[in-house]
Amino acid sequence: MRALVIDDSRTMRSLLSRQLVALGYETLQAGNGQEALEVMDQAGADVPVLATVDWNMPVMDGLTFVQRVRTRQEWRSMSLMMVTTEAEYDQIVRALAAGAHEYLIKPFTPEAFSDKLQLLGLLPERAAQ
Amino acid sequence: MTTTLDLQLEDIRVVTDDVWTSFLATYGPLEWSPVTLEEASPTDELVQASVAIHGDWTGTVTLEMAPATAETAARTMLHLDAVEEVDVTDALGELVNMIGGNIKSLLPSGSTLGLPIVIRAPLCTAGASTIEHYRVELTWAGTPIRIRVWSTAR
Repeated sequence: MRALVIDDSRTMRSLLSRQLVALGYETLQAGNGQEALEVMDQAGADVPVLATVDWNMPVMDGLTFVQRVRTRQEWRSMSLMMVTTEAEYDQIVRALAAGAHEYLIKPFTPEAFSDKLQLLGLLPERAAQ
Repeated sequence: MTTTLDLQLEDIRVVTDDVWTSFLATYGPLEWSPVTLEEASPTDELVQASVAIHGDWTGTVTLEMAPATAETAARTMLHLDAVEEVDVTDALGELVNMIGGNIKSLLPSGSTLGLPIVIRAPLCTAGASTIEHYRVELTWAGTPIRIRVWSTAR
């Protein structure tokens, strides 16, 4: 399974990628929404099953990325998890209304991240046991 | 309209502690420091990470520590034995982003968070257009860390 980690912080991309790789994922990374769209275009039919999406990023923010993804039929199968410091109720509602499936507020523990993957049905069976 | 900032020092400490517990617990917990960063720091240069909050209340949250402490934080977050300056800058930026974002969530809704800025600077004092509202002096791994919340004069 492939996952796309989108965050302008290399540190956060590294943290999330490390956890995903430990769960058996192959990871791709992008530093903003625009870069992520380009990565997905290059992926062609091999669409990642998951994207973790930061909200505040330069060039293209995470909310815009989610909105763009939802306009593309070929990317409909991908689960979108916001991973962000934006913790206000209104922001969460906006992201979910735009098409995000899950919402994880930074800071988070590895267990909280795994819980969100499980809710999405994307926690590998061996890790869920 | 300008909103008055209504935080408790404990709010800021709890927010910071959540960040540290999630990503930096290896070196032990954050604790209140009985001394200021200036008194405890062996260097006159600091790494200062800041993030702006815009809205009814406009201001900045800063995170300050000695370069060696910042390097330890970056190594811990990245699980690396050695880091470069770019790693330290990125890690400190993400730390202040999380602290600032969670402080923003304690303010009236509708505020926006800027992108973090990280610099090396002499021990910092307030600029002419800023007012320091809150200061939390902490220790981690035996070294001082300071969080400050500043408002921008209008």
